Amino acid sequence: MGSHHAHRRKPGVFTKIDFANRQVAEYYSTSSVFRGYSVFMQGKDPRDAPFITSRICGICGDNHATCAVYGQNMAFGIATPELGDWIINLGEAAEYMFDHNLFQDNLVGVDYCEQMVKQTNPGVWSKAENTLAPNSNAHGYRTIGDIVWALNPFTGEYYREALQMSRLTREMFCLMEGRHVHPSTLYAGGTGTVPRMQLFTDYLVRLTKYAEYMKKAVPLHDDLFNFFYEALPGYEQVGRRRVLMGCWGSWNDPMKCDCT
Amino acid sequence: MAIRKTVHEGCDRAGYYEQGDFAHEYGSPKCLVKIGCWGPVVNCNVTKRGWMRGIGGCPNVGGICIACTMPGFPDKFMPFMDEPPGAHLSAGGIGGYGKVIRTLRAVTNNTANKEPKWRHTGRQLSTGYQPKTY
Repeated sequence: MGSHHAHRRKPGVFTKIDFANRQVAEYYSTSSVFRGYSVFMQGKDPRDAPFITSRICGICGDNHATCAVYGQNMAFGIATPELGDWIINLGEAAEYMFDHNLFQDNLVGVDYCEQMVKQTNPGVWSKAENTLAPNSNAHGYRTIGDIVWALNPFTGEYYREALQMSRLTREMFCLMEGRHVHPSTLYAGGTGTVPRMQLFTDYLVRLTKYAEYMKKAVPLHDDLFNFFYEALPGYEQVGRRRVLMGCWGSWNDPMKCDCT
Repeated sequence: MAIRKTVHEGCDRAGYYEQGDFAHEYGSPKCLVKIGCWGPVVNCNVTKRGWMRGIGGCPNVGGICIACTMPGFPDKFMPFMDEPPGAHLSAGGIGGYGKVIRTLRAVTNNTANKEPKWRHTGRQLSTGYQPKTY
């Protein structure tokens, strides 16, 4: 360890800071959680898997249930009927909308809220207050500071609106799969959801509201993140790492996929 | 037990049970007891309140009750997708009674669905209202 470097180790976190150049030279973090499903599902009736695997998570559990259904369809050589596949797809679509909405605007949003920025980057906060938002005609917030203020947890206008919208997407999910996030109507080879006109209409009216909200959310995100990239040089390096993404194969097209 | 009422007591499919009319495949709107619903013996109000804002739920929207509010869940109630022990006897017992009731109700329902004689065309207005008292 040289005099210009400081190392700090914690379980799962490693940082190397170059104080002379005022730079984070290296930063690594890792987290792993042993879930254990592969162990305690052993010897259980495989048909129970969708009901149990969803309990892995309180936010994304239904993806695991869907995976369990796909896995069994392949193992048993069975397929979900076409309409059932669309019900699963609409449920998953609602889940993705829910996840992105909650994550981006309620969980990540806190990092960009007035309470946080004022304390951690007072200079950025005063700059935000005096920067006009380029897309204000689309989202209604005049300055970046107004957006940052609206992201304050529980009191900010946009934070509360986002919370309402994530609730709406959970309702959409419940229409298709009964319970969010532990689906009650998913089975290997089909769904228990009774497909009626009213079911899809109820989904569509909520989707329309969500699409309307997105017309505001996307230009708002553009304004917010573009501002931070400009206000904090090097900020675009945050989170840079080896990209490792896996797609678990959601949204099967029943005309193309027979689960073999 | 926090909730005294059972899933079955609040279930909008319980009428099918009473008439001995059971689902034999998932996706049916009828009572799910024979394909793995624990509802009759589980304490939970999900069938009354839905999952959120009255939407979704379990047996009333096509999902078998897996007894997730009960002590001993999940092991005590596995395998979920088989008829729960005891249900064979009670659901079987209601079969004969339910069939008779269903037949009788079909007769009355048919009568109830007929237009009454006093609703007719022409200038004369008649009524079926015949008070017996006052």
